[in-house]
Amino acid sequence: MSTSTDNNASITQESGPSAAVQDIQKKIVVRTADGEVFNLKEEVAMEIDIIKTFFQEDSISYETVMPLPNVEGWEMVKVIEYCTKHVELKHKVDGYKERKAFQALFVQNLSTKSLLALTNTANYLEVKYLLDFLCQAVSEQIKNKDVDYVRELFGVENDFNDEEYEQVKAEAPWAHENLNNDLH
Amino acid sequence: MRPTISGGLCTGQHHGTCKSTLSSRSPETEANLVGNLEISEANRMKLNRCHSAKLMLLDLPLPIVINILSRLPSELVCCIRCMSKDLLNMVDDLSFVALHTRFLIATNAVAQVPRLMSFAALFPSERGGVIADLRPVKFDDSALTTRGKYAINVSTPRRSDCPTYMVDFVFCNLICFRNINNRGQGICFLIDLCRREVLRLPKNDFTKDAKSPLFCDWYGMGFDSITNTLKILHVAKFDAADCMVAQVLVLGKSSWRQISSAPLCYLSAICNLFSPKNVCAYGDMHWLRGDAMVKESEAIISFDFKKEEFCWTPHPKLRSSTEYSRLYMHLHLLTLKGSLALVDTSLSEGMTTNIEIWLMKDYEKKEWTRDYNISIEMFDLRNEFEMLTDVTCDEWEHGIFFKNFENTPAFFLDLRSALMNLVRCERGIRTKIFSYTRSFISLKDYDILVEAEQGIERCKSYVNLIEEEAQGFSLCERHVLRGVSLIQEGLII
Repeated sequence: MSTSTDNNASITQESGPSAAVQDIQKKIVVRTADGEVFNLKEEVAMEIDIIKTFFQEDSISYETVMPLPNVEGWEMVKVIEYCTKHVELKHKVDGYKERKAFQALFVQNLSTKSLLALTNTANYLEVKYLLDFLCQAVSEQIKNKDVDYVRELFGVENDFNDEEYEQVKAEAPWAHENLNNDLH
Repeated sequence: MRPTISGGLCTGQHHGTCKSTLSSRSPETEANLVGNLEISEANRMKLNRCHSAKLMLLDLPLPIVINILSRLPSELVCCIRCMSKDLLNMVDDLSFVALHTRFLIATNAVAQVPRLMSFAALFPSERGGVIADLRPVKFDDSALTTRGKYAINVSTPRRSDCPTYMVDFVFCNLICFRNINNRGQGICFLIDLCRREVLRLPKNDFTKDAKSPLFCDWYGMGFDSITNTLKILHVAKFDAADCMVAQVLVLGKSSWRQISSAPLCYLSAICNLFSPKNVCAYGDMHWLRGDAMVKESEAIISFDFKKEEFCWTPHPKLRSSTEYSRLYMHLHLLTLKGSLALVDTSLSEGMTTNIEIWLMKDYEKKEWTRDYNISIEMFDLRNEFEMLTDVTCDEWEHGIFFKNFENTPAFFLDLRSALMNLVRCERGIRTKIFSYTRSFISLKDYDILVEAEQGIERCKSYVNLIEEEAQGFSLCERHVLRGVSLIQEGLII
């Protein structure tokens, strides 16, 4: 083993329980679409169902580098960050506040588009709790924006004509009571 | 129906596992292994130059779009459904409605903005008249006015022997409107004022086999997420000691079913007849017990609609050490931003009102956090209301409000800016204000509705669904009370 991998071992295991156990823990290696390679701790990797299935179902040796052609490097970083925290909090009794604080920071600098990309990735990688959290985060962002923003975000053309639009609106008049924006 | 994916970049990410065969790791790749930390730095730079700038919401797989949309407030969803035919089909699909309703009712994910409604109990003249009035109202910082065009009122042909109407609970957009009369057996309606739908609950003949007369009864409503059904609960207390009977009705069915579980306490206090201290939260129903607390941990009684059982919900460690029967007047159960909340005004002293608001944001763990600690100087809530019985404390768009049934003032606390607006309603006596939210639950999907102006001979009263011009039924003064300080603790979502 080259010294660089030894350094990797100590860097990645910073937040782990005890340094002595770390060196024995198995690693899983994945490669993302942009060619970057990641070493994951086994317990974190197993949180990602697609990885878990790949290695466990077909009993593929951990020596193999699993390709993730649909995932970008930055997305993998975020996923690893979230899963690592999740594993850490699993063993904690009163982790509610800590989880909430972490979640707030996690999405802090992400644009809505980045959030969407990450949501897509969480879906592909099959990490249910991350997917649910991200869907909630996206919905929180949409909730507070005006209708034009939402329209742009959806990127959808309005294919109703005036008459149809009025008819559709009339089906739920209570929803449009205070709306000043016309969606048409 | 699957919507077409329009415009933008379709990344076409597939939902599936990757099982291609791979050659074993070659020596060259080992040299490419870089520590995670190094990659992180490089990628953090990349984050700002977001690669998939063209990814639109509708490019995502359908289940994800639905997952996101079903967490949005009902009003926004209705706007979205008007955006295109594909979105219309997506939203109108029954499975979407079911998922949205589940998020709204059983979790605090949606956290819809609450709307306000007023219920007034009126004294008719000898020749009869309106005895109860239910109408939506809105509060916009300076006035409390009627909103919308519709109201429900109940009128009676003559004053004597007319039943008393009251609002028992609110479940999203459904209001339980019932009457109680001297003979005990009353009628119960579910009202959705926005859609103008009124449903009468099937008759409940629980008094038939009873060995003693009915003393009082309560209703509740909740969601069973296992069978995906809405259920109504009815609890009756008979004169004989230790005799409480509970029954459940699945909304849409025609008969009640008795269950073996029954509460071990009163679900309200007599002095709070028009303002029962209950709330529907997380799909279950919760009450503050109306009688003396025997064990320290037994103040909030809840009904689990999945197991159809009563259970105690732990209450937060309140700082006040008053005994429960006096504490009861100071405690209120409500929902705040989708979470179960407990408001405590018992720490008030002299001319300072102290309010603590506890939230239970995690229903699995049943943990409370003290999110607000408010101190209002030169204001004595007890004095303003003359008595603290029959006080409703509920949620409005920007905070909470208090209203006593028998008095005119209503106090709206704006939790954003530590302001308290005092609203004096002209015709506010014997009026209760409460909150409700919009949802996709539609009564007509469950049962045949009561027609407008249908007479109900038995109780000699008529339920009318009438159109009225928007009336400013109560206008008020606005005060900004000085010396309001708000200390926010904990994380607010």
